[in-house]
Amino acid sequence: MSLAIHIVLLIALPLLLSCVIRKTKALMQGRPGPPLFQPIFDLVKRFRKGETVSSTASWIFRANPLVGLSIALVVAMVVPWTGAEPLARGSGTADLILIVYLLAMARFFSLLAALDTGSAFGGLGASREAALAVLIEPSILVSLSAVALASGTMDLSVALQSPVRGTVALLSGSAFLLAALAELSRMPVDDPTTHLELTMIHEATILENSGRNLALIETTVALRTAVFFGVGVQILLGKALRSPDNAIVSAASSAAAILMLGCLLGVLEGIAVKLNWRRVPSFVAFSTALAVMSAFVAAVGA
Amino acid sequence: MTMQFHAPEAAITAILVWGAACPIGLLRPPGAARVAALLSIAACGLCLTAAFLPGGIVAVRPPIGLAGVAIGFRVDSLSRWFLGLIGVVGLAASIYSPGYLKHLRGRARPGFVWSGLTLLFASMAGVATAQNAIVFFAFWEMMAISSFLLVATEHERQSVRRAAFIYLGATRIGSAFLMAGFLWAHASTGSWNFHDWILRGSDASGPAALILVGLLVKAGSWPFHLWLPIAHPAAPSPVSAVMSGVMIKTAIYAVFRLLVMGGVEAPWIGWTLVAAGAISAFWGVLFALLQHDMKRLLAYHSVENIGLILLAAGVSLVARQASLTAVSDLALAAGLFHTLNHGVFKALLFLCAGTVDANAHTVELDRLGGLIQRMPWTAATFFVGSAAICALPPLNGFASEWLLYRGLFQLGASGPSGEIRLVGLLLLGWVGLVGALALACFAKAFGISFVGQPRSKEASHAKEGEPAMVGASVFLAVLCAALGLGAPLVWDAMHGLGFVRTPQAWTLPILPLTLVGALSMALIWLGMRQLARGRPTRTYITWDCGFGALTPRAQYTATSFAQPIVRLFGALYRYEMEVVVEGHGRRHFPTEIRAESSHEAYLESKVYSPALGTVIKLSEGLIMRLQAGSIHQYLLFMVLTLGLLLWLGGVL
Amino acid sequence: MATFQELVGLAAMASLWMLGITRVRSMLWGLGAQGAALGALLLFRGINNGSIGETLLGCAVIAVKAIAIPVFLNWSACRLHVVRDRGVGLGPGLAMLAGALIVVLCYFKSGWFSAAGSVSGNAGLAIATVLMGLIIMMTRRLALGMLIGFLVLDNGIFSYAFTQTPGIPVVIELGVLFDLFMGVLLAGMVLFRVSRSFEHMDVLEMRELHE
Repeated sequence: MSLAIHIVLLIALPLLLSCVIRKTKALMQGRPGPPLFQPIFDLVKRFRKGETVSSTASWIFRANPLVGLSIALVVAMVVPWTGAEPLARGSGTADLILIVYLLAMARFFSLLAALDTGSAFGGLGASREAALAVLIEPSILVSLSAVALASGTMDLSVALQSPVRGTVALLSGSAFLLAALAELSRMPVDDPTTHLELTMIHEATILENSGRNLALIETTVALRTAVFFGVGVQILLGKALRSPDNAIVSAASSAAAILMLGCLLGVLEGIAVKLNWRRVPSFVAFSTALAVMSAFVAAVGA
Repeated sequence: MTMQFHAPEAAITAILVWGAACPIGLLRPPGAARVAALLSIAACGLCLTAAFLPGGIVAVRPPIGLAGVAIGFRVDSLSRWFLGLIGVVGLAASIYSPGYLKHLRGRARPGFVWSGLTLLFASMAGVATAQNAIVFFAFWEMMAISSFLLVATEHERQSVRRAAFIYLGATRIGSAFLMAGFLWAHASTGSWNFHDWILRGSDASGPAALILVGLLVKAGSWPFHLWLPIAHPAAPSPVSAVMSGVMIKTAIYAVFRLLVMGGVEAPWIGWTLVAAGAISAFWGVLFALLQHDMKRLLAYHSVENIGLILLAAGVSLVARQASLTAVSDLALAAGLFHTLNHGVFKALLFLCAGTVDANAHTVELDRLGGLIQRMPWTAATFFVGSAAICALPPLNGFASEWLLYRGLFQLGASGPSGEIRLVGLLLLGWVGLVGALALACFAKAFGISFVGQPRSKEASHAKEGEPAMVGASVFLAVLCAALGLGAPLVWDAMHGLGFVRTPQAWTLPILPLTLVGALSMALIWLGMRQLARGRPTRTYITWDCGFGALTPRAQYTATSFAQPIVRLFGALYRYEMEVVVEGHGRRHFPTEIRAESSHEAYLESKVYSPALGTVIKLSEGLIMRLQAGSIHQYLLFMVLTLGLLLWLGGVL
Repeated sequence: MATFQELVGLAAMASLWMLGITRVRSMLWGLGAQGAALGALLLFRGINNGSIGETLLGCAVIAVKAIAIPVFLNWSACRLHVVRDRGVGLGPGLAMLAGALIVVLCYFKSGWFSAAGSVSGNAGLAIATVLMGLIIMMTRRLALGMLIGFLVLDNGIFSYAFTQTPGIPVVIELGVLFDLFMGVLLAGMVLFRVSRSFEHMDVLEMRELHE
């Protein structure tokens, strides 16, 4: 039962989240914006279109969307980001190191795919994304393991659902969400709707993708956004959202929290300006500092 | 008496076969090199067999020979582990070399390389099986000399001669420390046998410090790593593969033999290894990012991986002192497993670099590109190697790094004091940083050289390597996957060999997960195919902003790719980018733009260079006066020194 | 055991004698006598202990050190027309005096260098031989004389090793002996070349070479 809820949310929530973010942002900018479900229509349209592939591209370029989406799917299935019971709970599949490295694998493919077409923009995006990852990875690892420390297991499906001290939850949850903003290429690190290639990070890496290919990547992005937000919500508010008897209640409250977070992001994207690329390290450093603090409290604080 | 054929006998036979192949390589007839190659392959097979046979001791006490010291070989689980590594990498290198050496024609005689290579194999097997310090040291020196000769293979090039000279100097310094440590250990224990070296507390500190420095120099750990990225790329690629993959591991073997699993115990060793390992790992990968020569980049990654192995060894010791058996086991297994894994994937990467070198005639990243179209197999195997060294699941690099992560996490969860727990967690983040840097570095190495458009004529005319060369790479690539997917079995094997006491610590269902991932990929692919019906895929040029076709020069270069990261850690080196624009009068239509980057590590420019300068200045001022050129004066100094020493020896 | 000490003493006396002479042929006689004494030492000890290795080595030492090397050097001296080494620094008398002082000092301070269980006095004599070898090298002017001094020094090391240890591995010692012989042959060749290209082999005149 609980597993079924997880699967349903896995399918519905990511799309809904991207709709919510887009709409809030439009409202914040003082325009009515497209219909709420426009992102879904766009996606469907793209899936039904043909595609153009660069003649320089190799199998890496073709494999990238497939690898990215299947990794995102696997991660979304085993990580308890919805508050409901994930697939194979407690089997060690949702190991935090494994999850981080699966995402690293997806990144490896996307970096290579960006370089594959021989476009200068691809190189630019890949180079920046690689640098961002260097900044983010320690923060994500440390904040997640600080949370997992209390339960003594690296299996997120157990660790995220066991009690964590409030201070640790607050510190590592904020560290994780800040890192997630950078990892997901959202404001203020990267503007997903930018139009000038020279300021792009993520968009520059997928500049050559079109049609079905692009639709796959956009699905992946939506899924990853939802999973990262979900994990952040579970760390920050897990204790409050969990209701031991009723799976539907805890899943619904988690989903609501995730959508709330989406609204928050929309507001942020409406009012914030994109950071200068050279200032991004200090932004991520803030997240790293929070993560180190959370590790300190988790390890030393008795 | 029945002669049993156990691991020591097999190893000794392998050493003898290699020993026989060595002079054969020097012979004139053209078939000699082939015979040496076949003998080497056979010996590698024997060595690999020895890894699976029960261990034992074989000692010969020659009637006239070393006074009281036997020529002894002792093969236990640890030796077998390293024999396996030597066998696997040796086999791949031996299969690969004939094809590669053909391309060296005119620059070096294949026979010389074969003699050096077989001597190197023999001495490495000897080091891994030596029972006592004397035999160990004899093989150790043989290893140093043979690898020096191999580095100097293309000695007609000035840079190679310089590299060989630096390498020789480094090995001499390392050996001097090691020998001093051995002598001290012998003086304290009265035995040459490693088995009898049981030193505790303050007795252990002196010999352990000397031995550790000697071994760190050989392993190429920070701060003694300077020689490694100079020497390894200078050698022919299969030799680099053996040196990076296996030879520096003999130092790791000795670290495990004496300091981690042996009887030399001092409380500071664990933390020292942790510090050296953590810094090496970061330093190696950071400087790898600065390189644009593929082999040099790979050599710096050896510094990184040696660092990870030392870190694991250190954590294991620290955990053992705190009686955390589970953590200690995890870290020890991580170290040993990573030693094996790094041997496999680093050899794979160097062999691929060799194939590129042989067929595209350069390993300069900024002159390569698009090789995936012309060298599909080499590209695929290099891809597997890159993924493995970046610890991407489900390959072997992930398996061993996961063990390390888990060890660090457990140290964070169950450490005896808050400080140790915090250090465990922070080291976990540190390894994550190293991992992310490695990923960026290999995205660069693969992305610049294998995909995109060719940046030079050589690259656009490259051909796939010969079947044997590709075969050796494929063999290693398959091994990368097998060791990764079979990681639970490897843990069982390590338990069986007695390295770890925890029965099964492998909690990842890696094989089912890989299957699920592959299945979902296949399903998505099928779905896409279904959608593609009637909507054909168009192949067209890369988007050029409407300015006309993109040239290869518009692509990102290795330097520009790494630049954002390089700037992040600018405090550790001086990084300069010099941009020259000619024809400034017409701002938007310059005639020529040149950009050159240079870097200089502060460790080298602020520590090593001044030290060297001081030595030179001293020798100019003081020594020149002493060394006036009169033999009689020198003799007088000798007499005085001898007299002084005798007097000191008598009085003290 | 006393016999051995007398043989070591004989070797030391030979070098003392060599300090005081300048005729090359006499020095070679001294060198030969020293070699013979050392060889005999090994031979007797080998027979005493019933050790085949040592006996063999004794024979080899006599063959090389007492016969082959002096004969070869004598032949070289004849071809180079060298009869006398005029010496530099200490004169023969003073050199001999210094040598005697060294022998006496070393003999009485023998305990400094002796290994446990060996005959006291032997070590001192052997060390004295080493030092005297160095002094011979210091006080000779011709390269040939220096070579002879070096061989005396080597004999000193050799006798020290054999009186202080139960036995250096025979293989190694044979190897060293062989190396030494090859070294002397090479030095002989070099001397020919030197005297041919410089028309002399006076070490004092060779100081300009150090750049």
